[in-house]
Amino acid sequence: MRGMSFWFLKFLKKKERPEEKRNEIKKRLQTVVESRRKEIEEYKFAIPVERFNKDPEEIRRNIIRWAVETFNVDKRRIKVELQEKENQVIIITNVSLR
Amino acid sequence: MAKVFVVTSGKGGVGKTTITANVGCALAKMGDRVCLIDADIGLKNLDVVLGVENRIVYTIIDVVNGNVSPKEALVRHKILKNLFLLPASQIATKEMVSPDDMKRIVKELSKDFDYILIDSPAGIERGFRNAASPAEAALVVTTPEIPSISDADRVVGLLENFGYSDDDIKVIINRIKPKMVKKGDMLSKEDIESILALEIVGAIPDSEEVIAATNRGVPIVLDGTYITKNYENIAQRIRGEEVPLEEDLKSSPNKGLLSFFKNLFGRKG
Repeated sequence: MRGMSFWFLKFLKKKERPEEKRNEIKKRLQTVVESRRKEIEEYKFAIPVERFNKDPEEIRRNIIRWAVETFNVDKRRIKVELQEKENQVIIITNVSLR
Repeated sequence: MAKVFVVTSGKGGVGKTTITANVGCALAKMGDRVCLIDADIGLKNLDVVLGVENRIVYTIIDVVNGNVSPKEALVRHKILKNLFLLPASQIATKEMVSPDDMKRIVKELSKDFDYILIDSPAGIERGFRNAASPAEAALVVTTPEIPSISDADRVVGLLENFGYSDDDIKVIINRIKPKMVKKGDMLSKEDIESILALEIVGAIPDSEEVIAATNRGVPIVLDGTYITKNYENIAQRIRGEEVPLEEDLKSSPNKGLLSFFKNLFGRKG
């Protein structure tokens, strides 16, 4: 008798439509994908030329320290390159997040 | 000069090697000169899927070490005479090959072929970088499951970091089950397309025949079953021909009365 009532309840239960089911899966996938697609923020710094010329190594060390704190990674994963191009100093910072 | 594709996925076991072999065979059947490179060093399987495992004399490691030229290491397919394989070595590791080695090998082979397909190992480590660095376009393989699609999305991001544009990256959906899609238990190709935001160049239905063909060492494209058309469609799209994607999901195993009698008398369905 008990089995019979379960069967009846199951029969009455509203069936989920295929599109709803698929949309639910899609929503879950979207959440997974978006959690992995973290945007990399752009940070802009202005360093006075005099300070840069005085000790470029200090600038490099400061950038590494900042990146360690910001991205919570080991300092070995951070590469900082200083290049001079058309009277401008370009600082390239590469952080390996994996 | 050859058009060079990397066949990659991120997640393992989604069918990269089967797709590399079959798309390569389909292109060769259409008359193109095709070279397949097995970049899955240490876990090679492309030779087995193609059924040429007993013909290997030299591997990619011999080429990297300078023992032979890339052309000398190639293995010609038994049936398709314009299809070649540069085999991987089972006893080597991925670290024994560098992206620069791969670029040099591909550059040397490029002048003799119309298409070069590089079968990438799973993952996003050195093996993936080796496979992706000499290619100009990518075929990202995914199955319609969340882990596979999210890994594919990660790989797409890495390819973009390597300098691939969105137009260079195409998606192949493998092992799709139209019945499950209809019931709402599986994502459709439209769902996957909207998430990955990339062009889909093929959808291959799940098929037991692919497993059987792989075990026989005969790529299914040479077997002439219902799924052959799907690989041929992909090859046509790669060649730049217009083939509607809807064509891919039309094919299904014959389960009608005629097929029943064909099976009964031992003929292929």
